[in-house]
Amino acid sequence: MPPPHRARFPDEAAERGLTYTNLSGEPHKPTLLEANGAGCALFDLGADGDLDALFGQGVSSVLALTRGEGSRLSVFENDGRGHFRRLPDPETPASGWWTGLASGDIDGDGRADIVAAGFGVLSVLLQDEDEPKLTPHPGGFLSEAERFPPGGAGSAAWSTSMALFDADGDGELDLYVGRYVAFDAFDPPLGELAGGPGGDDSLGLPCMWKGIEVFCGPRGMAAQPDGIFRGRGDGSFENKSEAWLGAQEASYTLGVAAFDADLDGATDLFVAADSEPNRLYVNALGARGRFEERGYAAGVAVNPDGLSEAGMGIAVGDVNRDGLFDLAVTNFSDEPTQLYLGAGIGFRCASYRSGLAHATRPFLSWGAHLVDFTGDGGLELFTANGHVYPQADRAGTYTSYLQLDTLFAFDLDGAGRARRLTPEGELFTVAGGSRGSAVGDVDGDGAPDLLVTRIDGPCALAMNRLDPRAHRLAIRCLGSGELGPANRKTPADGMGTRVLVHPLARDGGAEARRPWVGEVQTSGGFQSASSPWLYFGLGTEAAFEGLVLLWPSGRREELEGGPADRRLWIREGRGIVREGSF
Amino acid sequence: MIASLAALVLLQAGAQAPDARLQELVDIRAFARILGEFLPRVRPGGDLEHDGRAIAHVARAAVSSGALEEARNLLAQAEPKTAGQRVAIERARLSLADDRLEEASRALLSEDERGTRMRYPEDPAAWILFARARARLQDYESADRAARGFLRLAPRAPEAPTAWQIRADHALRRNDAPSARAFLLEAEKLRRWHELLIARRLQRMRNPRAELPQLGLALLWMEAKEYERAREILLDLTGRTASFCRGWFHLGETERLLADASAAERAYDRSLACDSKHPPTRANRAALRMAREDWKGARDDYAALLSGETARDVRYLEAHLAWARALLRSGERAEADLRYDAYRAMGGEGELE
Repeated sequence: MPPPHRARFPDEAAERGLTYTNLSGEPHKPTLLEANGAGCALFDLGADGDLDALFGQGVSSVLALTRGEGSRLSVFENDGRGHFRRLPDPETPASGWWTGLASGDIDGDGRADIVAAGFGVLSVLLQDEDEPKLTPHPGGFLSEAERFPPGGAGSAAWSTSMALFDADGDGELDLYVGRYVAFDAFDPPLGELAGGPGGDDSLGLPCMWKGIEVFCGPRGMAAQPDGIFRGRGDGSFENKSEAWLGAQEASYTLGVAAFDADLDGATDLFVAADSEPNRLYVNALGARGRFEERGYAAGVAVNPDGLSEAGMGIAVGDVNRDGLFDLAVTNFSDEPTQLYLGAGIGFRCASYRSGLAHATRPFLSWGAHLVDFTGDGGLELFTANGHVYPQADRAGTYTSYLQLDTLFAFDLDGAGRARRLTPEGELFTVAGGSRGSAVGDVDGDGAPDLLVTRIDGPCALAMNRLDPRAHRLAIRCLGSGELGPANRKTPADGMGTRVLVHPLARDGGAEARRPWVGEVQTSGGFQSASSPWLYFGLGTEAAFEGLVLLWPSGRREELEGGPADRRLWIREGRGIVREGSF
Repeated sequence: MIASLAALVLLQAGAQAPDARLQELVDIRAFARILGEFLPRVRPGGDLEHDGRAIAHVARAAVSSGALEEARNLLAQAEPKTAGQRVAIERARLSLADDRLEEASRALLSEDERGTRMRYPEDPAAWILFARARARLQDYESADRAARGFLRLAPRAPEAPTAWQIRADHALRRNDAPSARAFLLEAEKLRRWHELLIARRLQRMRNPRAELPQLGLALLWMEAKEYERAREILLDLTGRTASFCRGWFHLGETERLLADASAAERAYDRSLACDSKHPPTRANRAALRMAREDWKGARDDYAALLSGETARDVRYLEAHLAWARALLRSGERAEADLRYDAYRAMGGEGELE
């Protein structure tokens, strides 16, 4: 009998050459800017077919930032087998405090591009050649008032999570930028938020959490409005915020995920806001020329008690294999990670009856991903955890600053109970301050790995060794750029394509024969961008029955099944154009 | 006798009775402070170890703070004779926090030959906990009924926004969008009101002698139509700081709304003595003077009100009519007619007599 398999997810960042260490202000976190950390991206730099890594980066302190110190992005090139070497930092127009990353083929040339943003900085970086190099697009993006420093004082645009996705179906990627809070780096609130007209001292309130003084915000500080920008296909964007979003109330956005929530073929947006209601922007550009906010009606704005939660990161996936996309939203400590199951119309909260709420309450969570890490055919939920307040280590808080990351599986019976997995691996056994995370198969074995940034510390690269016996399938979708039956085009990188994998499922009941569903999107998580590949676990099935691709253009393609354990490149209208084994 | 003296000394030293102190901390949702101050006292050996109400409060604070094990231990230790209803309800709350939703529901119901009923029908906490448990189980019908039950008992309690949210969710499920919208608005309104209430209470605790937090609290109670509470705060405020003009005006408002016209007028007198140019005070005192037929007094107030820029302020259009009437009843016909003509020229449509 073969020995039982040990589920392993070891952190191999250092030995694989990922030497990135995050810098995020001072260790005692006197201000909000220093607490949220940076994002990361897994994308193909150099168009060589593997996944390379990109990181945002902060500065040593807010004071240093005001004195002109700034950081650049860090990029690492993959040798194809999951070993990395650091490349020269991309030449962004400004150095600064970088937080969020988005990836996608902005100019439709078949190469992944990047949008990087942060506190008063935003840069569109294009890959123009087959060399591993990102070149900033010359056009400016932020106004003078939005940049840092904005005339020396005041608050710059603080960007958090972003999404590159095709909003209007023209085949070009558009951009949604989440924005957080007006933060005056030259005079940040310390210890107390001034209140009342004329700053009357009697209306000020100390910034406290569980009776302990902590950094101020975001509550009590002015929120900044998000922005949405239509891509022109050349790296430049046109501001469509007013036209497409209408009069929006500014909110403290931390998480953004693009996906087709209502399965009408147009990509919608879920926006997670800190301490404010989340928003679900349903894409009605075709019918009414705008996005329509439906968070409350869809049941995802607030928790079932009617309270807004911290809303950090977002995961999208079909947890219960009913063909509808579900959402996981990470939150603060003493708040659960919320699981909202797609319900045809809107969503139903399943956090409490699944036991996920109780299990996640002690954690403060950021990056989130619903991916079949184990390869058993069911999605697991990964969350990157770590508190914002170093003071969380004090007695009486019932939580801690550094925390274990978590992995949950869901039993697919009627109860849908969440079950915490405890694989061997530092992410799950050694407490850290995880923040942004990205999913992608960096070593080409078919199992999706995890890249995680950790505040003030080295990044983690958790290599997926959970079950090498599981059969898997990886799919890359490539759009044709041609107008389809829905009078839309599919972007070159296939963004928005929905893929259904039909299992053989000779044994098992109706549930076992339900297809697995995925949608090509790189957004989600927290301030990060994942690989555009779709990873499916087939469990013990060494083959699959067939594939159905629903392209954003409206074209539907059905492809025959075949053996598992392959990587498939599928081009719209042409079927499988390339394949490889793991 | 000695115990009473000790208690008196403690009180005189500024220590509050546990109930009052606990309630003060619950009011500002200072659950961490509750645990810090009271957890040692309710544990075995503490002076409150047999106090069921204190145990219940501290257990609730523990659940809200994420200290579920502490809550579990406390509730397990509570003896049946001291436990009572409050502890039973907190046990249900703990079950809710543990995602043991059916267990929480069952703990709040009783079954007999008459059927299934709420076990503690007079306690709003039982209703809202039951509503929350059923909502989490997606039993929206039961959740809505329980939410309604809660709102009947405690329409303005801190959990009222939750009750309205549950009602909104149920309305959405039955495709009643207008009701859902109305319930959500109610939830939002109450939620903001409670946030402000906590903020003002915290501000008052930090600066007990500052006027603005006190005034802010009073205004919140006025918004909630709890005029007695508002008056109590304003009497204290104006008693300590007679020079705080706005305090007198709002005290007048409160007295007026409590139908004590003479008290209202006295407060307006003080407001105008403090700030003679405050138009709302002037207008309201004038109206009270008209009501008790002090035509000359009202006439003088309107004359002062409607001089300067206020004369053209459309908010005081009807004050021009009232002025004309006061003049008429004072025997000044010609002046009354002039004022009335001016009123009509400004667009007024009322009759002089």
